[in-house]
Amino acid sequence: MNILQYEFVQNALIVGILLSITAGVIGSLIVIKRDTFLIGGIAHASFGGLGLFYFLGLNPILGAFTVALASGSVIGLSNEKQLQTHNALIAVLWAFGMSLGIIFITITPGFAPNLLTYLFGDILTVTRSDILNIVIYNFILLIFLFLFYKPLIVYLFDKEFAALHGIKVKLYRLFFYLFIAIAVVLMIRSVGIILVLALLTIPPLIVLPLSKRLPMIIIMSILVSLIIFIGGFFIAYYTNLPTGPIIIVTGTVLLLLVRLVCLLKKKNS
Amino acid sequence: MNPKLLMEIENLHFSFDGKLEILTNVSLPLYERDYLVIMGPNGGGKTTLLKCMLGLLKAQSGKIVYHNIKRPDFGYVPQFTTFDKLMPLRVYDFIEMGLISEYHPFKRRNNDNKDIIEKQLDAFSLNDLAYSSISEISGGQLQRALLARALIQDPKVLFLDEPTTFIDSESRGNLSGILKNLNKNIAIVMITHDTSAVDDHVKNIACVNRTLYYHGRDEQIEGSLEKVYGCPIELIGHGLPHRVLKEHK
Repeated sequence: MNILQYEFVQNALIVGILLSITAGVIGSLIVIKRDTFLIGGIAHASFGGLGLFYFLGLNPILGAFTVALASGSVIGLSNEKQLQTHNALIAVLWAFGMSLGIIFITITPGFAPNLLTYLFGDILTVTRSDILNIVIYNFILLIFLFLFYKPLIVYLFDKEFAALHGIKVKLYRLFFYLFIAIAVVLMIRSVGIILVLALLTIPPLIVLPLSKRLPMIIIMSILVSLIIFIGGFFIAYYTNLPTGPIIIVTGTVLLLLVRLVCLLKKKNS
Repeated sequence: MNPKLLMEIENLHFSFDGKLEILTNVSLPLYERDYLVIMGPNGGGKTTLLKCMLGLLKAQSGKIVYHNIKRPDFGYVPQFTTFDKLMPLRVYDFIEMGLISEYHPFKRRNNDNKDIIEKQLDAFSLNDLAYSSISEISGGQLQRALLARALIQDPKVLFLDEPTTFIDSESRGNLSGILKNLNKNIAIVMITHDTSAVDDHVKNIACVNRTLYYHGRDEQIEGSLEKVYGCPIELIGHGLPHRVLKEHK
């Protein structure tokens, strides 16, 4: 039987392709900026918002969105040097957000949703409106990148040099973290909090040793995301195992393989 | 005829968060075609002073007057630690960053830029390394790339922050020659804690440790350096490096 004839499978695959673009771009920028921990903080803190909105009977994703935007803005507007010395604070935010989310979901009367759904998402339940949201986001992201790629890279690489050359460092910072925060929420909806981290970090880590150029790293990350996503999806389908974890395991195995090959190549040369 | 003033620092006071004062009452002129070396121990506020001069930091009191120069006229060679050397970036892209202030999202001028960048690669003997990653090249080569990036827009003043720290002695010799040549046309401001970085092309020396101890170039300097470093330092005549005497207490 052809599984592609089901609408939910089609939707899932379309979301996979679209999110691969999101993850490839945002993930590459995060990994070269070494901000992965911060993103983990945003993703897990937003779970608190999700729980609160669920408790209030509102759309949980809107709660996650609000918290993610708020934390993205706070990070975007605060002093970078101070943030780096406050890694522990991010860990607190991380744990607090998760705990708050679980408490709110537990005290909400009625049927309690499966927490695993939020942690690992459920790609098979995504709708056409989710697809539209990601399309709009990707469109804005790619336009922004097309117009402001060069100043953005100068900002990411060397803030002082950027400031000296008239680049509005604070504005770029704010945009950078807002783009990240929105991407995180879009991804939570379909792939869950844990998979957000995996999809943002595994593909760039796989391709980093393969290219010296950031544009190539972004493009290759998108392709690797696609491979992991689609590959993981079909493996999960035919083994009847949960999609999210299978996608992560597929990615991690690929990461180990690529790094091993690179290591062997280096030893032989 | 007296040389023209480019910049005047007047009674500058700087502190982070208003607590510990990093710079106290610093006044310093910078002249056209000056070669000013700002010396002093680590943590003495040299980099802070440089960043104030560049307009990257704002002092709490005092002022800096610029005479016919603006920010685009500044070339800046930062310390290696201010940027991420492991970022996937080729030497070519790195030098191209120097042109960023001319970047306009709706006007692409990639071809014009290509010629300018290739000229810089040529001038700093980086042609063979153009497509190497900045993480693969040596300290001396990275220093040349930094110079190429800083000088690509023909600045009127070149600022260098501890340029000799991560490079070997051969590269130091090259750097000294490059700076001497540049100084025929533009002013140079170099920050260093390394007394051997001062050679006989230097025109003025300022010793900074929280405040300015000396500015100028005459016999007084040895005493000032001792005050700043807290140990005797001997300046040996023309063309020879200075040496820190053994008798440390």
